[in-house]
Amino acid sequence: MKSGSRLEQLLARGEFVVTAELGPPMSADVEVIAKKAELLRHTADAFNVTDNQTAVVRMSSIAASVLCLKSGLEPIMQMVCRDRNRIAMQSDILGAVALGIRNCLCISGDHQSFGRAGKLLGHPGAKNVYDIDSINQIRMFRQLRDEGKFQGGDPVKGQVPLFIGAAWTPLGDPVDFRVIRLGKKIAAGADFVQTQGVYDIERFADAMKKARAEGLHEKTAILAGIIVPKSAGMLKYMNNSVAGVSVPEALIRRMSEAADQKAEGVAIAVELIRDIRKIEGIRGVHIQPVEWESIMRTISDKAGLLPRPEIPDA
Amino acid sequence: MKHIIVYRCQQCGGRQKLFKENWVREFVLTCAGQLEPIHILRAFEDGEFGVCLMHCEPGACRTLAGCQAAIRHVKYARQLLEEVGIHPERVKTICCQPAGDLHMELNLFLDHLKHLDGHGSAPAPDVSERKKA
Amino acid sequence: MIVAQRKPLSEIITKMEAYKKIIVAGCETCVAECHAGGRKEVELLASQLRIAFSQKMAPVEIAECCIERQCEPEMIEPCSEQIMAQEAVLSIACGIGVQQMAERFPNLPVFPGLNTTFLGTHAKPTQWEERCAGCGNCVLDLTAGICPIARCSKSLLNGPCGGAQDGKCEVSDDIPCAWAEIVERMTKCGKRDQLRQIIPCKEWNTARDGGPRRLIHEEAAP
Repeated sequence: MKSGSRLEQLLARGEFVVTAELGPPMSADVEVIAKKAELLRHTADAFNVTDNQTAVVRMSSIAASVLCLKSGLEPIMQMVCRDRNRIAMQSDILGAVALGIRNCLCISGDHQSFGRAGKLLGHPGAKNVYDIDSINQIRMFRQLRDEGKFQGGDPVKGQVPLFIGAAWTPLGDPVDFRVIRLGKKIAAGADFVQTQGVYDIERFADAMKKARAEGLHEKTAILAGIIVPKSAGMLKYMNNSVAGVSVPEALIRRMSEAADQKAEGVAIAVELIRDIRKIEGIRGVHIQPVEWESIMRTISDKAGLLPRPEIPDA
Repeated sequence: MKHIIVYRCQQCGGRQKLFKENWVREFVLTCAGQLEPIHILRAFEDGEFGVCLMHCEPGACRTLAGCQAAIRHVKYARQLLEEVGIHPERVKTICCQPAGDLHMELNLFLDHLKHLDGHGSAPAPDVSERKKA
Repeated sequence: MIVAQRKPLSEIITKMEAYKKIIVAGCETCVAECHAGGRKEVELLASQLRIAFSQKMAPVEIAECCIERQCEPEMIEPCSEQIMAQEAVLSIACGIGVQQMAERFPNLPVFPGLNTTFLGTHAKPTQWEERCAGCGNCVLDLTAGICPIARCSKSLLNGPCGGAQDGKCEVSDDIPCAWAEIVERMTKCGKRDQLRQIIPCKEWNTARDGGPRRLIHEEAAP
């Protein structure tokens, strides 16, 4: 075992895993985490705790992850490259591990200009860190864990048990390079991969075929991303404005014609999960009910993913 | 006395001066493109009323690109003038016409400048004694 | 070349208002190329300032000079007598020129009339684009001659990130995704598989992050 995390153990056992997401509040309010934890408990195996997503300042991922642990949920701490240099990243990982966190998702992170959107002023003038990119971040954490060495070469005392994750945008621009980049992340040390939200099963299946051709599905556990839609407007917005998300016209039409768009969204999510399970190489799903944590239990249930498997105490 | 400074392309009315009015100072150019933004700004430094560029039809320019350059220079000069509170309409461009019409256009321009004056858009006070150290 | 842009005129006027004898000092090299601080721009800015100050009924003398390269001390010398007769200098050179002026004339207030922005090229008519971040360790051969440090908004060495859309950066539609361009050019040269190699972490100590830099060239001694 690299980390002994629940996620790792379940994958090692060959289980089809489920991960979900918990967004920290724009405040120091621990109650928000506790309430979300109640809604999400037992609906998935591990929960991504986002890191100042869209460059909006929120309670830190490491702190929110610890609060998750206290609420009995296994966190997947996210760490972006935008705000921390290699010194801070390694420092935070040591701290995270010391506090019981065992999973970390390494991602570039949205540019700080994203923080100014809608009514938010954000911090578009913040200094751009991006000391290292996500691929080097993965490599750095693997070196900490497997070689007992900091990025600069100094030795680390003791174990740094960590299950290292990466993100994959299979339909991102330029599409024909995305499998190569996934290969780089895996070569760097990604133990598991969560994809950007999938709506176009056909195109995603095609990307998976290319990934399988390079044997990537065997070197890492690929979890397909499922974003739960709430409305036709949301689907249209994602199709037009969210990089790497491709929504088939038929799905948008289906949603527009639905009497109850939220119920339709649940149905669509459940069907996507069912269809994605059939794709060879998919080891689980990463379900994201955006601003709608309360629906998570319904989705997991209807998709036949409940109850989640038990891990006997060692 | 304040003047309207006229820069006129020779294709548009010939090489001889066309305007006898004492409130006009006329410069005949080989090509309208010779007019640089600084010439326009200097007129306002000197406290003049307005500047008028008379140019040939865009396709008819003998230097091919001169007319287009002139229009670009005027646009730039207007931006710079607006930055210092000089109304951009104090710089006018007139496309080539028979001489009688040019006189009429110029008089219309004079009226417009007086109108701008009357509505608080005064040109710069006379600084024709400007010094360069 | 160094690319700069004139500051808003209102900012310049506010800063210079207190002085009665000002010289606008331009530079004939980089900033002339990008139409920010060359001879023409000196004339135009001086003219604008004369108009603006006369509107305030403030008698100000605005002188003009243009130096071939304001970053070279010897080239400032020919104008030094004219400059020393002023109360203040408005330099419309890049930040380097402004600093040279301040060093040469320590008793004169020197104001920057431009915002110096980036190292770049005249990519197309009317448009200059950033090309180089001065990282101090050039590896352009690895990325088909397209610099990911300067041209990728996140300076990724193993891009593209998941934010690119239609060949454009997530930050703005005006910014091409540098990694999309790198992948395209490497593919055209038949070198796409080279991109399977992970380019390791950048060591930023050769860049400005390591502290202000200097170059010593003994061979260049007069």
